[in-house]
Formats: sequence, structure tokens, C-alpha cells
Amino acid sequence: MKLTIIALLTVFSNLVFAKPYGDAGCGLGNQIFGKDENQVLAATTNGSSYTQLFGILSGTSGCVDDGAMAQNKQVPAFIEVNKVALATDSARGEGETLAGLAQLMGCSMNQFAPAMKKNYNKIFVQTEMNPASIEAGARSVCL
Amino acid sequence: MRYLFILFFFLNFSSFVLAEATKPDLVQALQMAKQKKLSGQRQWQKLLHFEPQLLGLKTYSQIDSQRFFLSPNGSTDLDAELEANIKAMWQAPDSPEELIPQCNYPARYQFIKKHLAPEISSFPDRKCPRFEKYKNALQGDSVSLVFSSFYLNNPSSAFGHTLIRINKAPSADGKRYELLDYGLNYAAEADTGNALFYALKGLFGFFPGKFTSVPYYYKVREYSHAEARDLWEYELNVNSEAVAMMIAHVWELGPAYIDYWYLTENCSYHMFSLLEAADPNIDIISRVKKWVIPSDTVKDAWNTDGLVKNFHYRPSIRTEFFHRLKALADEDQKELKKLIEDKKIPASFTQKSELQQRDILDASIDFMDFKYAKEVQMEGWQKDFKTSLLVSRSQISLPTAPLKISPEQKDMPHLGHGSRRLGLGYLGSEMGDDAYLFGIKHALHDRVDLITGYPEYAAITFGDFQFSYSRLRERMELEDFALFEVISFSPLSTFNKSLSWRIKLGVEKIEDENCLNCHGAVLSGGAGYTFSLYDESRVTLFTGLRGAAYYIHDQDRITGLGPSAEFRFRWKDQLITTLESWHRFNFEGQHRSFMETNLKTQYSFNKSWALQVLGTDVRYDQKAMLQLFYFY
Repeated sequence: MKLTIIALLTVFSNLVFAKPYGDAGCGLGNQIFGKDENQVLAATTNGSSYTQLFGILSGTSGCVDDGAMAQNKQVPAFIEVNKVALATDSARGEGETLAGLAQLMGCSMNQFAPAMKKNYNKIFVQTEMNPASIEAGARSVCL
Repeated sequence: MRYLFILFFFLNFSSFVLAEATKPDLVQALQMAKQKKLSGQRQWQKLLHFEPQLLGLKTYSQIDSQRFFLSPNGSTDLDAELEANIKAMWQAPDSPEELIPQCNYPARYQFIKKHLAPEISSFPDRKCPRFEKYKNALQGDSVSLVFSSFYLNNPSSAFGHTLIRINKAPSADGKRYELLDYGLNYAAEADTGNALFYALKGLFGFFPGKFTSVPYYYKVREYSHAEARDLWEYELNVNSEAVAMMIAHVWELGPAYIDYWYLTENCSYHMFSLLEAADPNIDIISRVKKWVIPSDTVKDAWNTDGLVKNFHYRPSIRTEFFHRLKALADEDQKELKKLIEDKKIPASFTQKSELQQRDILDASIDFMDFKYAKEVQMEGWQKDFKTSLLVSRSQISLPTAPLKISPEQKDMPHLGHGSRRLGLGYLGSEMGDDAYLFGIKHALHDRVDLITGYPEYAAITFGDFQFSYSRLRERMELEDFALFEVISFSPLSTFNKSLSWRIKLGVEKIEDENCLNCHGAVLSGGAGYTFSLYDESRVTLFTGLRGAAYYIHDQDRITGLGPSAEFRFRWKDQLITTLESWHRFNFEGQHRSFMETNLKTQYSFNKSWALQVLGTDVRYDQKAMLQLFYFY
């Protein structure tokens, strides 16, 4: 009985006072890519991208929800993190990253891939690789 | 006011608990659990991470946060923890989810439920929307162990890394989209950028380790692209119940922390502890060596009967580039080289056939991604040039030539030699000081070892002790000790201009006028370039500068610097020769010039046994050594 209460109290207090993760919201931060910033992505995405080393039970900040990507952030997060590979795949008109995005957005790859390729300039160059604009472009050709 | 509210809440709460405690179901559940000795079940132990510790004298939990346990004695007492869990679960409120142990410890609840189901008819099931959401995001269908290859540029990754991937089922079109899977990772939450503190804290368990789940595409971008490391993905033979248990268990572990031990309870160790908790039939921790080297754990998994279903190789962007390069005709390779040197697409480019244009562009795009992984994302010529390549590529309608890279046996990490090495040998000296040799090396790979499963351009050493017993002087001596040594001699090519370097921290026996038969702590390092003389990395020559600082007890420090060279010849995979020479000019001491030459040849009978002949010439003595090595 006493044990139970103590135990439950422990769980409760730990959950309440648990250190919050991902305060920076969707910041890619430099956690995953090392603190010395010698890796890709870290240097370029200060504060504007996605947290990756989120704990499970990490609480809810904008993008990450209890250890998994929040439903409405899946596509923007994917584009932001994968945009370099996505640009390459789109220029080639095929590839794993492009197929992954098609799957995530629920569009048919057969139609999506050539459309991304055809509109390469519009979607990637004219947008200066801005993730939100890439997303808008991708959505406009995802049927 | 707030305190009043909290007090009110708990008063209510405890009376609620009191009322629930009298329920016959709970009494019955506790009785049955006792009768069936549930707390003695292997899976219960594994779910609480009980392992023999303190040299096997005591068994208790490896989890270091109290919040992981419901009983105050939970970390040492399996019975008490089981009882506390059953009580808490049977008395759980309906909400909020944070107060429901079934939701916070779903794997434990599943375990208890499964084992009590035959006797007990009703269980205190609760709704756990947060956990359900997590489970649905992962959609676990199967599990892979992923090995990320050796990465020499970061000491903490030099031995590789492993994580687990939770694989989703093939989608409606029958295809798998691995990038959309989730990876389960265990890593130290390092709080220092200082290399020395990092090493010390890592070695002695001062960092908290945490489990995290990460979309797999992050890992692919990090390893395959940013760090250009090949990934090896081993699909494991675990059933759907075990996959569900793994997801439930990692959810339990999310808020917990475990002291991270770089050499023992590290990322790879806990991938196995996760696996054993998920599937009680898997017995793999017992196979793991005391010092857990990630590449060894891949072999452990591979050698466990029936555990690995199949494996898949995911080449890094670097590997992809070199494959595309090899597929190009000489003329096109030249064109590619020119393109990259000029940093622009020549006007004459369009005169080539579409097929040639495509292949050259595809190779150059991969080159930019591998060579300038970081720069292509920042403003600068790299980004602009890559954009122009991509724009040109998007105007060629041909699909990319499929890149089928099947790894050779010699690349496969699971087939490599064991990381530890024992040595036994004889040393003959021109001065007549013959000796017997004994050696033990904890890890990992030398430039003359069998190349299977290891990067050929590198040597990685950790904890290497060489002792000699002098027949003349009848005494045992330390010949050489390397705490840590890394050699990275990557040969130059048109498309690889990386510097070669080496670094060593250890203790060496010093034999010159400055100090005869004494020992000095040494920090040495060098840099230069390695040239390929024949067939890429088969015959290479390193030339560069090498320096060292010796700290000798009761003496001044000796520092020196001088030219150094290494010639390496791989006759075949099993037979490799190196010739190394170093002419060092000391800044201190009586004799200022020091020259050492080593000729080493090793024949590997198989991945366990090898024979090495080593001849050494120092200024006034010549020595020959014959050693038999056993890798395990």
C-alpha cells in the first residue's frame, strides 16, 4: 500500500519534473551531428529545422511528439532534413529519397517523379531550397 | 493554493488506492505471480536489465535512474519490483496517462498479463493514447541491427556504431521505404567538447546514456552522407510479439538513463540488452566480450544460430561515387575531372551523347555531395556549382543508370577477424639480448592484418601491451604500450586529396644514449600524403613528417621531429608487407639524431591465426622478431 503510493508518487513527480526535450521546437541543433559542427546540416540549419535526438516521452514541442514525428510535421521534417538528397533525386527523376517523400505525401511515384524533375528549376532553384517552398512545390505536383 | 490542491489531490488519490487494494483480483494476481515465480523469469530480469555485476558477484539492475522502478528496492529486488508493479497496475486510475503504470511500463504489463492470463480472467487494461500514438508511428513489423562502419575522424566512432531499426511492413505497393522507418539508438549525452574529459568521462561511466528513437532518414543522412560511412543492415529473426515488446520496452526506457561506459555498457551492448528484453529466447549478451567493440557485436549476431535472417548493404555516398566513376570510360573520366577542376560545365559538354552527359553529371553530383557534404548547403561556389549540375541533369530525360553495388566478401564486417589479439614470439638481437615476447591487444586492426571487414588504409589500436622476457638479464619488461593509436593512410587519387595522419598515446621502451632501457610516456603523431603505386590501395607509399614527445621519469622531456615513410605491399589478402622508416632529430638530449627502420611481413592463415616476421634496425642494434598471433 505504502509502496504503491511511493511508487506512483515517484512516477508522477518524475513525469512532472522531467527535463523537457526539444525546447528549440524543430531545431536541427547540433546534437546529432556533433558539437563541433564539422558535419553536414548542423551548420546550415540553425534553429529552423528539426530536433533529432528526441527522447521517448519527450513531451510535446512543435514537431516531435512523444518520441515520434508529429503527424502534421512529417512532410516538412522529411523535406528539411533530406533536401540535398531530395534535390539530387528530383534532378535525376528517381531515387530512394524522392520515393520516400512520395510515399509520405501519398502521391504516385510514377507521376510525381517526372513532375519533380520537370519542375526542378521552379521547385528547387527559384525557391533557393527553402524547405517550405519545396514542400509547396512538391504538393502542387503531387496528384 | 497550489499546495492545497496537491494535498487535496493526493488525499483523494490515496483513498482511491485504499479502496482498490481490497479488490480480489489484485490479491489473486499477487498470489499467482508468487506461485508461478514470475519474478524469476528470464524476461522479467531482462526487462529490468538485471545483469551480473561486480565481476559476477552480485546481480542487480544496470539502470541508474530510480524512476525506472516502482519499488524503492526495485533496482536490486526482482520480487519487490514485480509486486509493486502488479499493485500499481491493478490500482491504476483511469487517467491521466502519466499516472497509469500500464502506460508508462507497457512491456512489463504485457509480460505480467501474458503469464497470468491462464488463471486470471480480468485485467486492469487502460487506454494509453500517447503510447498508442508512438506505437502507430513506428508500425513495427520486423527488426534490423544496423552497423555503421568505422569512422576515423572521430575517436568515439573509430570502432563503428550500432543501432536498431524498427522496420515497417511493406506498404500497399509491396515496397519497403526504409527511410521512413525509425531507428532506436543508445548514446551518451556528452556534456563536454574537451577531448580529454570526453575520453575520461566516457571510459569511466560519467555520461548518462539515453535511448532515443529517430527517423531512420536522419541516420542515413548522418552516416551515409555527412560522414560517408557504409551501413550494414542485418535483419533479425524475431517474431511480431517480440517486435511489439521491443517498442513497448524502449518506451519504458525513454525517460530512464544508464551510465554510459564507452568500453562495456555502450551503444552496441544495449542494442543486445534491448533485444534480450524483447525476446527471452535470444541469448546474445553472454557471447559479447568484456570490452564491447561494435564491429565485434555484428560478428556475435552473425554467429548466433538463426538470429540473422539476411543482410543488406547501404553504400555511403563516397562508395556510390567511386562506383559511378569506375563505370565511366576513360574519356568520360577525363571530362569529369576537367568539370570538377574548372568548377563549371564547358560549352562543349552538350556535344557528348545524352548517355555520356548523364553519367558524367551523375558522377559529378555524387562527388560534390561526398566531397563537400557541408559546403553544398551553404552559400558558396560548391552550392552554385552543384545547382548548375542538377539543373543540367534535370534537363536530361534519361533515368539514372541503376547502381548495383554488391559488396565483396572482404568488405563484410561480420566476416572480419576478432578484435582482440594474443601474441607469442621470440626476439633475436644482434647485441645478444634475446628475449621471449608476449603480447595482448584489446583492439582492433593493424596495417598487415587480414583485410576482410576492415578499412585497408587504416590501423586502429586500443590497449596494446607488448612484454619481453630477456634471457640475458632474466627479467620481464614492457616493450611497448599503445593506449590508443590511429593510422589513416588513405591513398591520393584524382578524386581523393585527403591528408594521411597518425597519432599515438602510450609508453615505449627507449634505447639510445639519452636513456638506455628506460621507459617514457609518448605522444606521437604525423601527417603527410599516401600515394598509390599500383592498383589503388594494394601498393602504397606514405611520406610525411612525424614527431614525438617522450616524458621520461626523472629526466627532461625529449622531443623530436623528422621525415617518415611507409611502403606497404599487399601481395594478397593474407600476405602483407610494410617497410617503415623514421629519421627523427631530437631537440634535446645527448644524441640528436635517431633513425629507426622496420620491415614487417605477416601471413594470415585464417581470421584467427597469423604469423609475423619483423626486423628492426635502430642506430646501433638490429633485432628480428617472429610472432604467432591469435585473433579472437
